[in-house]
Amino acid sequence: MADVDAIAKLALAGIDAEAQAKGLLSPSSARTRLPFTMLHVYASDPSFDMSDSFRVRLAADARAQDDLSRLMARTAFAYMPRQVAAASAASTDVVRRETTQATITLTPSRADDAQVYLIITLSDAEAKAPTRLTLKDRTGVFLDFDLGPFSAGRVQLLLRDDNSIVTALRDAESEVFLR
Amino acid sequence: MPIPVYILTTEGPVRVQRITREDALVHSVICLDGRAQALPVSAAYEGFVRSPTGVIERLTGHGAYRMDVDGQVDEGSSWQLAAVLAHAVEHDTESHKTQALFATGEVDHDLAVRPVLHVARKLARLADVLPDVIAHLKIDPSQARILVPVETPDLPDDVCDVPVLPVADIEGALQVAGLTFLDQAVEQPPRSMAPAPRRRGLLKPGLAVIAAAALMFWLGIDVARWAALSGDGQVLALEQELNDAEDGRLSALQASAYRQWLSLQKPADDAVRTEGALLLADTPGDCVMQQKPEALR
Repeated sequence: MADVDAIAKLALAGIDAEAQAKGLLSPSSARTRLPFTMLHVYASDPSFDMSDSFRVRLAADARAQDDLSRLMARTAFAYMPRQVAAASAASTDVVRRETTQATITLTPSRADDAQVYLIITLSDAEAKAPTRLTLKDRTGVFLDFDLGPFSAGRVQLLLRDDNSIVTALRDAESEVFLR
Repeated sequence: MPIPVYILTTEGPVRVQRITREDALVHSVICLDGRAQALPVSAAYEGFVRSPTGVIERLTGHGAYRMDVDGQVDEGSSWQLAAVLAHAVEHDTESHKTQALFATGEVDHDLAVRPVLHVARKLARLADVLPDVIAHLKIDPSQARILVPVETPDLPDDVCDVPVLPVADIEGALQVAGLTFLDQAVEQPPRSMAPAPRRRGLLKPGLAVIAAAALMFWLGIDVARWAALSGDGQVLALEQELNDAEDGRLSALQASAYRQWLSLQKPADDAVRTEGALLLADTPGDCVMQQKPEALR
């Protein structure tokens, strides 16, 4: 990542080295832990794509998932944690998640029941717009979705209802990151 | 669509498959063939629909639509006339005077149809496929219409027996298309649609107020001067001024009115009373004799 300075890189390398040393001295199950550097880079850089192996290892590492969630909650443009049961109201057609930075809605298309509008509106239309929507679903899987360009603090995408992002957004247990 | 509506493009006619009212939260979109794929022209369509910039919401009362088309539509503005016709067809459930509509043209804020480029090429591409379209739709060509902006040069009378009709505005386009639903909205636009008449409406009372104020000011100068003369007791000068004023038409009315006003200021007959005693002297000398002591005191 371009904006990570040399000291930060050194610190991250040290953390990784420590993790590797621990891994060598620990039972084999602990050796699957993801390097913190990777988590940090992923959390800090919205354009960074997880490799398939990274994704598989992350899915199997609950602790790394929690670490990543905490990192992303701090670095994301907007973080929307799990919704409480009353707020989720899964029976309604329109899904709405809101923070002080942004509002996300899912509005079904009246033209086609199998399609839905994902609308993201920023509270500050002049703010630097996020480029990626990331969700951590209830199983700990992280899903990335690239957003189009915002216009006047708003972006609208038409998606199929069975899109994994749509499914995850409908789930109150999902955590949402705009970054 | 009760009547097939086609957008003329340089790549051939594109059929409007359907128009759906969407939730007002949604920005209007043009989608390709029912898929979850909004065309790049969608942003322009949103601007064309949503009031106050757009015209469709003004005409239909709703500001969010999804239009599905069966082919690519460029990001220009020549799709707008066909879009208005498609919306009119969607809302007009009774009029079926035509069997198919083909159109190209830009529609401005005042619902005038503006000229667009490449009309000849669009008509040529239409001519390539029109026989198949007519056969597919099983329509009488004379009952279909091709609508183009009135300022388009070198227009043919028809394409494959479908009449080519130049139109100047949406009202005319709806007439030749045999549509009626939007007529009322076109003829009686809300105030936001017709800023010019509204300005004229406001201009008349505004001018009247200004004229009245100027007249009052002009009249007020003379009246103020006359009031000053009256207040100073310069009766002769006031009388001279009023006489002079009575030589002119308007000023004569002014002077007359002022005289009337002065007459109202005149004290009533019983407003002035003289009190005293009547003394009668026997001879003139008695008067002198009686006054002297008073005068000497």
